[in-house]
Amino acid sequence: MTRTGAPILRNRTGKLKQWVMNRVRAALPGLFAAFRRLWPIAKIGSVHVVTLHDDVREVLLTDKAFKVPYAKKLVVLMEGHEAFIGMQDTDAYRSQLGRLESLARPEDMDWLADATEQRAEAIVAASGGRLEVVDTLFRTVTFDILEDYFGVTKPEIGDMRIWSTRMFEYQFLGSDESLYEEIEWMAPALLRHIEDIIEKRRASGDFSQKDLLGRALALQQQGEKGWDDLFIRTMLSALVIGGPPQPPMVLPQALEQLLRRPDALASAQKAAREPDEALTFGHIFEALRFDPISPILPREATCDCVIAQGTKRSHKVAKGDKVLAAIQSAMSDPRRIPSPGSFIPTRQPHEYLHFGLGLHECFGRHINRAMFPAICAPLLRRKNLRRAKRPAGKLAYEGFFPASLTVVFDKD
Amino acid sequence: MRLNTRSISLEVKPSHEDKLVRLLVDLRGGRSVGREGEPGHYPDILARLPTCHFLSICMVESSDYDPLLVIEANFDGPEGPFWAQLQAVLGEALREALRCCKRPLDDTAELYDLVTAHRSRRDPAPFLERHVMRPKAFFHGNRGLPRERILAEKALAEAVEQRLHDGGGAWNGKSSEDVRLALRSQLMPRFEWLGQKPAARIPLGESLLDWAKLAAVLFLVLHLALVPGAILAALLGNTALGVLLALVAVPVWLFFTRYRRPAGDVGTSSSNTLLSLARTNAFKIIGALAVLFLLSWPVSASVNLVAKDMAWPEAWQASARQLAWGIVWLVAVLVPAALIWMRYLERHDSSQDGPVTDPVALRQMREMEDWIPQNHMVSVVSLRPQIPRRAMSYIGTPLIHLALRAAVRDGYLGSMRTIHCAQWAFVNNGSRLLFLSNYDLSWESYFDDFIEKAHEGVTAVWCGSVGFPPVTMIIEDGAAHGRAFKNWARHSMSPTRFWVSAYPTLTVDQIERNNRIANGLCAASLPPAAARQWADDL
Amino acid sequence: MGGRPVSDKNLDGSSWKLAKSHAHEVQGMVVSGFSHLPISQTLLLQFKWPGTAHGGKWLQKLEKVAPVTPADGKQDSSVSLGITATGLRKMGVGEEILAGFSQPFREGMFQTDRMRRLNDRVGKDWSECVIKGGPLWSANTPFDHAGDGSGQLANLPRRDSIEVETELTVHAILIIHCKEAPEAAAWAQRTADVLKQCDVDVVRAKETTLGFDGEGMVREHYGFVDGLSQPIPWDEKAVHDAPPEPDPVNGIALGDVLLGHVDGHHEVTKGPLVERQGKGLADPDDKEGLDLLFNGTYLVVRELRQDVAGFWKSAKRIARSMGPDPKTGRPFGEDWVGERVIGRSMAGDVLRPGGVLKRKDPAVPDNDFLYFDDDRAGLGCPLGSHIRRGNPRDGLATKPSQTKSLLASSNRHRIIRRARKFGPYIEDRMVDDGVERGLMFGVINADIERQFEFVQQTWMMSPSFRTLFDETDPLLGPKSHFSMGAEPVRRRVTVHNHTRLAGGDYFFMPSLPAIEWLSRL
Repeated sequence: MTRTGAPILRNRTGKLKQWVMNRVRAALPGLFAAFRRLWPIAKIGSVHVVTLHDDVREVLLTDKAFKVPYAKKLVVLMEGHEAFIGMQDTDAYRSQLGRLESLARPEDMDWLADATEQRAEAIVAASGGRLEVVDTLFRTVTFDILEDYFGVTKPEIGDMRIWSTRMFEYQFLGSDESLYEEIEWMAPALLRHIEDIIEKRRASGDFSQKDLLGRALALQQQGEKGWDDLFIRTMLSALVIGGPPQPPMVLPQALEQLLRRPDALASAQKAAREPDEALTFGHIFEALRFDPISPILPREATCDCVIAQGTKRSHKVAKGDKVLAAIQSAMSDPRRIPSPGSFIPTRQPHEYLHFGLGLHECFGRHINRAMFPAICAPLLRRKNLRRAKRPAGKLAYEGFFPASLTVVFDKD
Repeated sequence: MRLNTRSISLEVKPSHEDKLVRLLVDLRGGRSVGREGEPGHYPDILARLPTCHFLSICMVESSDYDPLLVIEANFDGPEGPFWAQLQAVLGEALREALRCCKRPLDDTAELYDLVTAHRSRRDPAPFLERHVMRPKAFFHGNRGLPRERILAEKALAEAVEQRLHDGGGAWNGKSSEDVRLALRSQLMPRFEWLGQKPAARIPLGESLLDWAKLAAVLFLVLHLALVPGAILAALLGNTALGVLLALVAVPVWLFFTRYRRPAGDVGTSSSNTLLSLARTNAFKIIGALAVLFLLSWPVSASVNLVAKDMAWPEAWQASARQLAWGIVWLVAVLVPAALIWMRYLERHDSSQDGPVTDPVALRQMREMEDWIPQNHMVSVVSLRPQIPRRAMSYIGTPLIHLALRAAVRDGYLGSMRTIHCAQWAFVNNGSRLLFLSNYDLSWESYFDDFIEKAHEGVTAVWCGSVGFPPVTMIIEDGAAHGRAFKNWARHSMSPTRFWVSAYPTLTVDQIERNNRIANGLCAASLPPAAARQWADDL
Repeated sequence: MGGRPVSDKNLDGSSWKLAKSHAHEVQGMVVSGFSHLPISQTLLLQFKWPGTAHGGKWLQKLEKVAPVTPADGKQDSSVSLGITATGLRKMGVGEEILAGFSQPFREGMFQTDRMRRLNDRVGKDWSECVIKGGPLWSANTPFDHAGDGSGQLANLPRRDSIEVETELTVHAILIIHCKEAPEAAAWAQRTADVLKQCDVDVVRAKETTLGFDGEGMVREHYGFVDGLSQPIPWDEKAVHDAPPEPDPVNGIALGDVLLGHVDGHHEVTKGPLVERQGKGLADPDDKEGLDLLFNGTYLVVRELRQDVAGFWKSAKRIARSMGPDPKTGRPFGEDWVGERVIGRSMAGDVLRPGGVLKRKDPAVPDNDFLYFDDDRAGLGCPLGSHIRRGNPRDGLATKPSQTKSLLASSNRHRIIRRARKFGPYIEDRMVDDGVERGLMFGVINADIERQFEFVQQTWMMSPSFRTLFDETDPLLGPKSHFSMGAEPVRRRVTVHNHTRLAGGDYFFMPSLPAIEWLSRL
């Protein structure tokens, strides 16, 4: 089922570097445990690594003092326009977010879940008992469904998956020269593509409510304030860049964690067969606690301030310093997380920081909540689900991105 | 997982009293579901506090002091996660409640400011944690049963009930063991854990530790009590010491025999007097003194060795003599003298015969009570000031705790078993005694139990409190004065504003019954007698 | 149902007697069930005069027509009197004096929290143990708002209703005991006429009887021998010829049934001391002052209607549902079920595994039995049967070491029962004849909370009595489960309510000197 064409991930990391990266990734839990105990707020140069659950929460909740550092790059991607992902808690931010939130509706989630599951089931059923999940299943389903949901169709020339994955990498992860070179043409290409879609859609007079674009255009037609083309374009572009690249990153990692824990996998499969979608989600979310999408969320101090003030570990941060809120560590902090080493799929919502916290809590959390179990369930329901023989059965990375993982299962 | 019992007490600004009450009432009113007005049943909270057995938030009021915000929590496992969960459920209400409290004067003031500041987003849990108190004594009726297990065994008992019901007369003619085996195989698919050996409620290590702690503290206290006699023995010869002992002990005992009886019409002719307890346990006491002697011997010999530069044989001999005298002095002089001191205080104590319970508070207490088979109470009393009294409270209470912990394994205090979780803690810098209890049945029956079945222990714990009914020899009378004790206790109480129970329909006895049923079903086979006994519980 | 049977002629004579110094002050009903006076007229009175003053006149009139009889010897007739809190208030007893009475009495049986405890009404609806539409009569005590100016009470999230009013307001109860029915009826009529002259209406009158069967036993409407278990009050001084120790099984402190004496909790209840010649409180040191409560007591009255046919039809249904008795192969009869509900045989003998307890005296069922040694698991007398709930004796013990203290403790909640029935016996217990019948259930106790209410709440109506679950008293409680011990496993059936509350309240039974004082108000 894999689509042909250029590889979606950049193959630029050398073998040794990749090996080191993988080892560091594996060593993180131990490293964080040591930090929590010995140096809970570590200052390395002008970077502060915050590892305790309480302090991570404090940093994320104190958005005034610790702002997100995304604005600079976003401006590049959006050709100079601001998008909420990178903004401070201002009226403009609230207005943008409010408009965007008004587009997505709770009842969409049922539809999303159903469509996702159907699509995933089709892929799994067609696989014949051996399936590479990262691209074939997770990426394909995510992009197909979300493109439909957003109303952003595939470009005729170029690959949306590559565009948005690359721009996501640029925005949140890397910034090497070759990446920048690609971004320089991809960002405008995406924007033009979206502008094109908007134009065509308006011309077609199809303001159906099934996708976000249709809803936005309908509001525009009704003369609602704030729904100009520029806004719609910027928002859709932000959604395309920020959204679909993530499930193909986290879901393989979740599956990998489940495959490492036979009991957890068995119970996840049981939940999927039930079907208990809340519990299935619980398994995925819990698996991710051991290997989240990002071990840290970066912030930047907007003023001289203090973390953990009023406690013994009170720690000063100078304006402009970088603060890394180690959510992976926070989600394993035994002071706040009961039995952090155990796999417990029924944990309380507050124990997870996968979606961040406070002002910049993930916009897509409801969408992910609906899609994650729906993508995984068809696979989890298969009997005797296990890794393929190595090396294919091992989760391989390209830089920070999961690249491939092949599983096998009994044919019905 | 161990059941932890904790409380937090913070002083409330008098100006914010009404606001706090409203806050707590809203907390309750907005959440209570189920039977009409039934308190204690808050499914949303219970689901999000998965380890919590009982939780209460009260405002303790009295005309003697500014109100106290008291948060009581009984939960399984470590504390940090629990407070985080509580914060996740009630965080903003807690912050608002903290805003009603006085700014602390200690080093938590800065944190207080940050948590209570206008629009603050700082987590309140770390501040609360700084004020968490460990109780000086606590009691668990169903010791060793985590909430999860209680609820699982409840579900099992209900399933058994249902099976028996569905079975109708099918059981006739079968043996108890047949019934048990049939139920076991029918229920095994739903309750897979029936295939496992049930975890020990109190692991051996914990039991040993309980006894070791008690022994260590007792040894320390008693060993110190031998010091006066031993010092005298080191200073004086046997003859002189004997004469001195006679000169002191005779008047002390004479005085003691006169003094020990209740004064006036205080006596309640309770049978378990301190002296009769001492008599019935004479062999145990002699045994304990012998053990004390043996354990203290090396300690004392080492002291002689070092301080007096003696040789080992000489040191052993000298210390044996000193210790023997120490014990004689302890029994003949120190104990009666201490009791005389106690009796002197008891005879001069004020007891509050007509405590006034605020009618509005009383009304509210009663309104919250008796909706479910369990109830909750919070009481704060002031401690009497004298040295032996305070010593009794500060040392005696933990000692009683250690003794209860070591000796009571089945939840029975005397012959009463209605307490789920109870605790005593000192608040306001140790000047007041806080008592919190989650108990079965009505308040009246709870206190009748105290009065009828456990008044000695209750008297020992509360005799150091201002206004307590007149006491004789630490454990006599006191709480045996039924109505006086009840009135006094009521007046020390405040309405329970917010209270959650994880298993609101279960009494301590029923939890034990469910546990017996579950344990019985876990066994692969039972001898006929045991099976019959097991079937009695169905 | 709860020592010594009413039918036992010894009760009125030598079981226990008050010392002379007290006997002439105490109302006769406290010490006697009047087994020699089987017919009685129960008159519920309402004071109709306006305002709350000069309310003693009716007692002066009453003294002439039906003087309240003391406990100083057997007489050919007897009159007992109880007054509710609203009655005392109406008679002009000052609030400062009323404050000295016990709280349950002052609040009345239908105070909202009390109703919940007694299981008469939880939330906004009457329980099914109350007749449809709620009770007919009570003292109609207004809800005490505790003088709340803080608004705290008003702000409570309330889910019950605090104002409950019955159609009839009862201020006093007058019970006339006689040998013959016509005599009683005529006397009652005479008394009603006299009382009418001073604005006292008889708002409800019931002829009540003991009703002996051929064997000289009292049977209630369902057919069970009744009135078997009574406590034996003991006091070193105030009880005439008191034995050195209280009765080991049924002995209780005199103070538990008579105010002003040492009670089970080692206390002596002091009442308000009033001026003998005046209307107000006396100087606390006034030797001439009258302790209003002294030698008085509290009387709890509950008018219970019995649906006899309903009870037995339901018993039959249950018996049928249980299939044949595996031991005999024959079906269970409804008697068998009814006896389990009560815990005694129809003849009054307590059930024991395999039968009933053997009598020591062939004429009277034993009442000095215990449970722990002979029937711990309730294979004979079910753990949740009416008599085991009403007086668990040592049966709540789970280990031998607890029996003594648990017997002592349960005896501190004992009550004296004074129950008489109204309405005729049913012809055929399986056929509903539509005739109203029941029990005028009376309880004499000194501490309503510790005794009557405790028994009702903690034992009778508690769904968590012992280790039982979801069960209440099978006779008085609402529809619930009922477990009967059996091998290999207990039988559990569903029982329905057939005994319903039709009215009731708490009355003060004043001593004769107190009545005299009240009559001067």
